[in-house]
Amino acid sequence: MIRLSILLCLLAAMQVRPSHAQEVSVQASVNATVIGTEEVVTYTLSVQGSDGSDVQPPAAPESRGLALAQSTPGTQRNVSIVNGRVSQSFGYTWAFRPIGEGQARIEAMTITVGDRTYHTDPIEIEIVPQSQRPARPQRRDPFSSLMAPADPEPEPEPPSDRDIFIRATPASSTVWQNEQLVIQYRLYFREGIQLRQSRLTDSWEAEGFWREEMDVETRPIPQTVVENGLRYNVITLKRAAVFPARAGDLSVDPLRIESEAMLPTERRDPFQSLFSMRSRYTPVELASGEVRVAARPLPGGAPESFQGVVGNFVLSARTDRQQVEVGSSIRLTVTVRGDGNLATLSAPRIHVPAVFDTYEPESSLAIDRSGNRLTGSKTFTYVLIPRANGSYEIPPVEFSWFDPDANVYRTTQSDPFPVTVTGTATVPDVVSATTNGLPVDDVAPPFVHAAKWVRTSSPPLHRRTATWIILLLPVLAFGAGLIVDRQRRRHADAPSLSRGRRAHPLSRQHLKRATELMHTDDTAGYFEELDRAVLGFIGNRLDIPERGLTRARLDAILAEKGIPTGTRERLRAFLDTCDLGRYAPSGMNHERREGALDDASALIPDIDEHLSA
Amino acid sequence: MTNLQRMGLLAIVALLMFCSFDVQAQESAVAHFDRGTQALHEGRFRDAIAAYDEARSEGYTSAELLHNTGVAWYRLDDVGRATLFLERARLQAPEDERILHSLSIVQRLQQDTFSTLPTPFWMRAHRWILDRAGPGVWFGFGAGLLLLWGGVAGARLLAQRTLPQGRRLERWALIIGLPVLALALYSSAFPPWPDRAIVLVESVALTEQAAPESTPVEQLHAGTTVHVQARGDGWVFVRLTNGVGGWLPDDAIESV
Repeated sequence: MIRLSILLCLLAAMQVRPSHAQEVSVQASVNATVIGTEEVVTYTLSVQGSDGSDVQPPAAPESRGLALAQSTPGTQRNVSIVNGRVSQSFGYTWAFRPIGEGQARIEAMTITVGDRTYHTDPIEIEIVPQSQRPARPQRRDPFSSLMAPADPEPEPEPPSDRDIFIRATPASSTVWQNEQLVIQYRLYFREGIQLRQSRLTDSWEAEGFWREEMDVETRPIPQTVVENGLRYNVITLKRAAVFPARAGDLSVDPLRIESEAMLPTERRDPFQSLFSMRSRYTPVELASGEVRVAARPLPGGAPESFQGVVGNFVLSARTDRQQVEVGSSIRLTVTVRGDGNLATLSAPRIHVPAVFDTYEPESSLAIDRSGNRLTGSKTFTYVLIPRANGSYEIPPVEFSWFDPDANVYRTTQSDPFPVTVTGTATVPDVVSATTNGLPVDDVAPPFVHAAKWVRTSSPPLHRRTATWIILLLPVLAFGAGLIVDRQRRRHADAPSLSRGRRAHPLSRQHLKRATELMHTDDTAGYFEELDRAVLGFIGNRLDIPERGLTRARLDAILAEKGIPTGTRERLRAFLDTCDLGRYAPSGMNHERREGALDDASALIPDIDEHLSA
Repeated sequence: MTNLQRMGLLAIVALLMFCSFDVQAQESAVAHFDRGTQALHEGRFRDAIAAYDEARSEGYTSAELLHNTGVAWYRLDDVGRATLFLERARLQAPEDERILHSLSIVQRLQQDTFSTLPTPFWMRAHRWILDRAGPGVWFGFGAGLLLLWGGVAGARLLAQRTLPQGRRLERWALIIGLPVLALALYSSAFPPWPDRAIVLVESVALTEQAAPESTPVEQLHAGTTVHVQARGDGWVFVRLTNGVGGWLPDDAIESV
């Protein structure tokens, strides 16, 4: 705002002179596009960048509703030196008188400069009755004003919208949300108009936009342009880069200034002009048009690292070192350069290993406001402090933006950063410890010993075989007890069953004992055991007392039980042998002993078989 | 030596050989653990993880080994696997301060926070009981009571003798032992804690259907705990702690 005021003040004070381009250009202009029937219009053909030596004199332009006042054109040559650069121009002027009221026209004309031909545009002139025009001052003798009283000074004519205006020029009327849009505010004023005491009337607002002021020349050299046949001097008042903060139809307020302007006069009296200059300034209020902008919403599918910036960017990142001690800091610097809205750009998210302590990054912004677009860079500096030694890799820093030229999201990323941390991997000083001695912001140190090892492949309890075996044990024990108890009760109720069940084991015991005695001198004992084995078996099997049983009684019982005669005879012979062996052992040699054992071994299953049948 | 004696001797030798192999495997696991811990101290985190994996491949694990594995993954900035191994360590040693501390540190890095639904009172009671002692302990207690019952009853039947208060002891051992055994086996088959799993990938979408193009319900990140409800063809139906359900790719999570 201050800059704009200074600019306007300088503008009021400066001697306005046309600038001259280096290249040749041709412009046609008139001194007024509205004249009275008694006035003269001056048509000027200006050749910029030429001294006139290579210009072929043109014929007077064709006109309609106007008559050429003089057939020979006036010429003018202009040379200026600005900042060491020489520019020159050459021009022809013709005067036309109106033929009548109404619309008149000076046709386009052609001029050859060197070997090139240039064409001008036609100019429309409106001719009105002279009564509608301001009174023309009388042409007087310059010295008469000193001798005679001065004429009453006519009221200064206020400048019209065609004489002086502000034009707002946006670079585009449609942009993406958050895309940069440069708006230029340029002041157009007719040649000869002077301004003073210019100021901004109210603040310039751009609601719904983030805005950044851009540089303008503090001592501008006006450019000369022709608009609708009139020559204007143009200076840039203000440049602003705006970024739509939301999508939709947005508008930027007009730029308004107040000033005092002095129109050029045709008075030829230099002294009167000098002394009446102050009174000839008239106040003017100027305003640009409102700038309407349609902001389009950004398309979907934005990458995860997208933060909303639109434009074209370049990412760079670096670390200040690759080897660091535990507890020392390492700086990761990330710089984003481009032409987007860098002021609102937040720090890219970095994914450093958890072993690093990270702090909020510091940011610095550098913006170049002098170019056609706002450009700059934003630098983020992350401070990382490793807490443990080891070799780490800081993953690449990723940055995404929307490219408005290609209408696509773009993502770039840096290279990864290998970092070697040396030193003791103990709790660093910067990390305080809990009451248990554990670091506040870090995991507990590793265990050195494992106290208890367990098998990894242990299935759940209900799927282990041992579980069900353990459960079966008491049930089996109880069941076995029940069975034993029941058997015992049965045997108690029927003793014969018990004796019969014990018949075989007892006989086997006696036979075993006999086998042990066979090779000893105890022949009587040997046969005693054989006798017990066989008789005991029969007694237990038949539940009869074997003691005191006569041979005849035994034979009768066995016969009654269905033991065949042959078996009974063999039994009798065996028992006789046993008696002989017990009472007359001297005659029993080894062969007879073995024969008796074989007989006993054969008789027991034989008798058992018949009894079971 | 009779056949019976020979068989008994063979059984003893086989048991001794089995025990010796078992001891050998455990010693090998300890050696891998020491090697991994050394690598962890020296900042060679991947070497440490490899050594710990070898230790577990011997068929043995421990809360300390699982904790150190979690720490190594944490150093490698893998929040998902760090959470997984520290949760496993907590299962082995629920009261260990160092494990709980490390787990809390890792949980700070998790991006997802979901509210937790209230737990039904019977499930809270079930958990309270199992917090006192695990299913194995309860099973041992119940089996002991059942063996006591079986022993007392068997002795009564076999020896025809009854201990003082023997019948009462027998009755109460059965009355207490059977429910305790039922509790232990039920807790083993249907634990009151859900089948928890940890998200291992950096980011994954929880979808309405078991298909990649299905509508996403939620975006989950590494370290988030989910409750496995059912497993399908390459997909797992899970619930978040706030009750929201959806499907995840099978390889995006791993059970604790």
